[in-house]
Amino acid sequence: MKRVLLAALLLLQAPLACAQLQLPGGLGDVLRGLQKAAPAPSRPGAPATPGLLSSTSLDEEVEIGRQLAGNLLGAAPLVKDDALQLYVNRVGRWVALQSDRPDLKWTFGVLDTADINAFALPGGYVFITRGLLGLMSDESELAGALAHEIAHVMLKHHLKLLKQNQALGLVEGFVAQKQSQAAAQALLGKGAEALSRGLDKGAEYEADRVGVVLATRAGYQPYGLPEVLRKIAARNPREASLSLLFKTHPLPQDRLSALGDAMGSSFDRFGQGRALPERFAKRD
Amino acid sequence: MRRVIGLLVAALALCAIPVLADPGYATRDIELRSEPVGGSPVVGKLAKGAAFEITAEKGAWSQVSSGGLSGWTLSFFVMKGDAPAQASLGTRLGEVWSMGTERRVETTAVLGVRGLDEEKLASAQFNAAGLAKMESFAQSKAAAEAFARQGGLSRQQVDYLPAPAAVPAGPQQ
Repeated sequence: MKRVLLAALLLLQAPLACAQLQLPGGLGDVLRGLQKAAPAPSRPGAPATPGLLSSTSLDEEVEIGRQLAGNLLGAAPLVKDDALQLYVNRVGRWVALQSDRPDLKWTFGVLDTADINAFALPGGYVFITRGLLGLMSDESELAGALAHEIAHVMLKHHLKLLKQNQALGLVEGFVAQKQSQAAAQALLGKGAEALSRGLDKGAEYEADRVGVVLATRAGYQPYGLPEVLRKIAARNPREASLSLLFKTHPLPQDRLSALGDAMGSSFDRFGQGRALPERFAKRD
Repeated sequence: MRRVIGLLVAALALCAIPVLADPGYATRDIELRSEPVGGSPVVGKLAKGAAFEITAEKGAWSQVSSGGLSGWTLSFFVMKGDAPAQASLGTRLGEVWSMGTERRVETTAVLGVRGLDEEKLASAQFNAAGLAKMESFAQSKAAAEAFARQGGLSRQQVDYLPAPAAVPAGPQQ
């Protein structure tokens, strides 16, 4: 039973897994805060990002992201290479500046795992794995992959998922009942239910479409993300390093097809965009 | 003058990059065009799963050659590697799909042996030191802009792409 629950939970992607299994004290309060009916005061310069959770304040969103990021780092630590971490932060911050949420305190990290994957958490916490980085051959590909994750944050996909699942109330119950198994199972049940409705697939396709736009706005050649998808598609889908990615995302072939339908050849007008293979190789 | 230089740079960047004749195959029914330009004449069609040689790449396009037929098609629908037989392509994709659905538990037992698998995520402990370290790497707007200038990256005006429902049916070439 536990394994089935875990599998269902993973379908909600790692962030929720962390939320349920290692809920730090402060998070319960934050999640309760999400239920406030009154709209949060809008901050000066705050982006008008469309979202169902209009009542979620920026501070609450960031706090949720911090907690989940800390838990993800408990599962896989950062690569111990400061120059690499700084480089990825520079690329990511530049791409994020092209998004509708340029003023978030964007934070990027390379996780020390051979898994091929990337993660976005609320509030601007973005992770890429050493395994995925190893597939890339220039900065435009890194920018493309980060842009996909930045799009998830910009569009508040994870917060929307919680809302659509009615999971917030369940999380609240989970905390109130001192993290009882029953509440945890109910939360997982809602997550699995939402997934069977296919919400995540649509979010992934949307993040792909927004991602290529953000990377192209940043001055990169537009086909970095599609190239990364082609490299993933060319690998053996049974590889252990791909198992989590394939559980939480549509097939890369399908994502490429959808991107092809959306982009066509219209982005060839940005052919002057940079790929920057040399800077990627030096990582500075 | 700047504009002329910009156009020249763009033209250079768009030059076709000849590649070694890599094997490849189509992931859907595709049209081959005479030029790597949307709307150029269609010179042939290939069915999903058809094998060919990829002889050049340019922007969104791949030049492919198969049985005396040669033309340009969008790279989104071209996979590198040996073409699986039509039937096995479906089977292979079906296998992948099943990994995420009914055979999940079984494949987890086989595949989830390292990295970010269920067990590892389940037993994760909050890593405060790691989080503080990660946050210390965050870059300011100004630093990111300086980094972009260093790499010759300049902002482009690009509209968001419409959702699929708003996209007309058929290949967007």
